[in-house]
Amino acid sequence: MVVIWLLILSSTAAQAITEPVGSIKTLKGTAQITRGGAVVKAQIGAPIHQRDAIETAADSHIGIILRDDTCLSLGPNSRIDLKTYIFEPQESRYSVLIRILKGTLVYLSGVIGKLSPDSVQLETPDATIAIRGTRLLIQVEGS
Amino acid sequence: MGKLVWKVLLPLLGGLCFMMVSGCSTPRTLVILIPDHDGQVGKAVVTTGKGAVPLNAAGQTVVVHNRHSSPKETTASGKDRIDALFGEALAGEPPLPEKFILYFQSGTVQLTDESLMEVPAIVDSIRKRQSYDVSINGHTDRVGSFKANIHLSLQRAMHVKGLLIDAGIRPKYLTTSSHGEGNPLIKTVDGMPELRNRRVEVIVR
Repeated sequence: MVVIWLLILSSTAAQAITEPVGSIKTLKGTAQITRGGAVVKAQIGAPIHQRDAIETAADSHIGIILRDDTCLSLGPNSRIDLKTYIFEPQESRYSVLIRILKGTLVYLSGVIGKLSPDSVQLETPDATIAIRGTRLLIQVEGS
Repeated sequence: MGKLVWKVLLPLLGGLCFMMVSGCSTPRTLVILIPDHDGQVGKAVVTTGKGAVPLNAAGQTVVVHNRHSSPKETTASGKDRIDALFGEALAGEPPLPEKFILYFQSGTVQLTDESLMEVPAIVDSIRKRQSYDVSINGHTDRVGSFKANIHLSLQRAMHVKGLLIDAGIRPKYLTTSSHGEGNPLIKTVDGMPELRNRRVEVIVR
């Protein structure tokens, strides 16, 4: 019995990590995804996972759509960390935490922003941003 | 002698300029609220340990110099400033997902005639966008039991997935989910037939 529970727990945990939460829709120049210590070159159509770090080079941009239709677009020399992304409408479980570490980001909220805006948080090194169904431009300088 | 003075002064001046630029006049965080694609303007709140500033008008701009200072509203940003700072990021915005709703005969996985005719448009959209991420979400009305409707809504989603695969779309791009009767477009009492709730929503990203 305990073994079965452990199996169930480990399989749901594995699913939470491996299941994509979005995909890359647009790309110009060079961008990379850091996932669990490994670096992957970004490509159109490639999946995005919870906890991915997304980074662009100079003269580059990348556009991403997440499961709840949140759209993210990074300008050149930019980096964001998708720290948390939970979208489980059947269980009404929502949680989004995106850290913007440098550069420029266009953020457009999706279904979570409508159903549960308090579950969405954007963070920069110096501020937090709460949203209510919103398209925002965010720039973080330096470091 | 003059040269020596400049050798000392220049780095000092440079450092002063740098401090002015990075320390004061250039914010560490800049946030601008802009309209959604349908023209609506949402709301946001920028918060630090020292205070919070709400945004609710298009172009409204808030800067934060560091986490120990309060956010400050500055002059609203016009198109020129937005393009200068965010032109590249805006150029990379993905096209908005496209949504299709297909309707079903009561208690079955049989599409209505109109909805069956709409399937080729979904296939076109997937191809045109080169979409690798299509959600197929099944729903029912409140005829039948809650449990039976979870099953029926999954069958509806699987049926639509089958139609798209038959049209040549690769299965690995298609994700199904079943919502049963729990996520209606039109709220009804239990047992009420409602065509608009007997549906599959296809979202092409």
